[in-house]
Amino acid sequence: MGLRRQIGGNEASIVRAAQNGSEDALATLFRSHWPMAHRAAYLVVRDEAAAEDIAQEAFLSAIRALGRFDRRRPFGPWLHRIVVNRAIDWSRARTLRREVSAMPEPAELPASAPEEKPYSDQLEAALANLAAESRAVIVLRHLLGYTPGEIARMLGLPRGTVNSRLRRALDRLAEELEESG
Amino acid sequence: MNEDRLGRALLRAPVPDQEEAAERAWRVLSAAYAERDRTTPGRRRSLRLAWMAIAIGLLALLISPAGAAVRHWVRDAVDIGREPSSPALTSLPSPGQVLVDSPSGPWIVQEDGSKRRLGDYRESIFSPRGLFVAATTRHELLALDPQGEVRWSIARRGPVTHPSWNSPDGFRIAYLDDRSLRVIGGDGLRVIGGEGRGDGLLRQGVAEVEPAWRPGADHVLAFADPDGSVHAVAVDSDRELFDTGPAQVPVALAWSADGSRLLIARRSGVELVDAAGTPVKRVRAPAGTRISALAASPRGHRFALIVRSGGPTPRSALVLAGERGHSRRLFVGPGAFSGLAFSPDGRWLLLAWRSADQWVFLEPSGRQRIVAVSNISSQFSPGETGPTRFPRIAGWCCAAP
Repeated sequence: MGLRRQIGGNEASIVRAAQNGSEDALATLFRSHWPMAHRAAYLVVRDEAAAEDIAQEAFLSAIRALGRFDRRRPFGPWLHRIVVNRAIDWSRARTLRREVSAMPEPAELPASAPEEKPYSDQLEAALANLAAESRAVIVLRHLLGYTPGEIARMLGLPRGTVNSRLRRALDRLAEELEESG
Repeated sequence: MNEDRLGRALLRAPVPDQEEAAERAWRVLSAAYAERDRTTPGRRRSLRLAWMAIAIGLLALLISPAGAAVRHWVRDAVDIGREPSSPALTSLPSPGQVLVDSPSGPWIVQEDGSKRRLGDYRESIFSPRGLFVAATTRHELLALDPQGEVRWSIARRGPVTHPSWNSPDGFRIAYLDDRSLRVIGGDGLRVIGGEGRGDGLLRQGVAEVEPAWRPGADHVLAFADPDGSVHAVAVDSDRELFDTGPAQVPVALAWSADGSRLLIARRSGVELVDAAGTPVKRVRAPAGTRISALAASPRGHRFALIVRSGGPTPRSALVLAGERGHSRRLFVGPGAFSGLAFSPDGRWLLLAWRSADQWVFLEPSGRQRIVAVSNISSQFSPGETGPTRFPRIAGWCCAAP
């Protein structure tokens, strides 16, 4: 489970090559990490444009700091920490804006004769009913494969808080999925 | 809950526009990286310079129009007078030609901003590749070339309204003759696979809604009845494919680019139905608002719509939606938005903001730029000294032939 298991052990040499100016190495890093970074951002913010911005800005930050990057450390967790924290910040800001919004957004309704949706679609709908902070811990734990301790360090939270957030989020997801069929 | 299944579902959950987003991101990142790499005569010094270059780049992003647009996007709303706008339409942000119906007749606007008036006509529409324009007078349907020369015309008792040219072969034009829906060959005479008539009645007593051709060679036309039911008919065989049943009369009909979805915009919401007329999704307009216009993206199943709130201080919103994912407001402003169109490559939206006498070009993804142009009415009514009617966007078609 998780991205870290899928990337080969030569990441340090790829990072070193990128630090030395190899665009091929940068492209390799991008190809390895973009899909999950973008997916993680989207699953937290649930906004296509914002997810793209967030993932892109995280990579720009990575390039900016590439020269100082400690090659003994894995690249992914550092990138994911930026992505998920930015995604949470964006979601909080959006919630505040919605409270003062002059015009609500159109509401999505199921069609009158919907076909049974695949589990991933049902899950997506269930995730939408969670707070962004809860979506973030779900994504970090179950998409990216981090342990609760690692998530706690990434989000700057006590480990107990992460555990309870995970438990509550999973319970809520289970309820929602049960209701939707 | 099964946590393995959860992990797999998170991996499979659809992420819209994933490949294109990756391409856009790579272009930005490789450019930023190249900027960093160009400053490498001494590694320590290069680090400082790379830092500076990227910082300058980011600062430029923030203060450039593109950066401004990003901030506007985050803020979600732009007010009259606060968005810097160009006083004249000097270019289009994307290849193609815009067709505009003004009080003085239709105009074709080229990518470099030059424009040509086609004549004294009421409504117009591009042929599929932009090589011709179908236009109407009160009692005539005509086909014009881009210079405004009449290629053919047909007179009707009329009034002749709502022309719609099929795509991609261009062999059919549907139009309303008063409340009768008629179809004619795109060359004005020839009807391929039809009954040999140059012009034929398809239905009588239809609603005043522009009919919509399904993209493809099978000549399927969607139209609305006065009871709000929407029909899809294979025109050549006159076979009805589906009938949605009575509802609010639509304000607009449009097919997705692949022809697999019909979008039915009613005042209270947009319904997506599949090729058999089965509902797939519905997007409801919020209470106190109504939908006034719809455009389908030339790529995928995305669509844009205009939502307007009433009351003493009406506001309008441009909303981007799709079959999957949530709707997204792109632009909100006071007053009325009167029309919209996607660019031929689907990357830009043109929004007609009647209350501000502006056109607003918006790039929903990628760099998310926004370009506003003022004084639209006077640009399409040269010589007029009094108030003029705001022009209607009739289409944004392919690059000039």
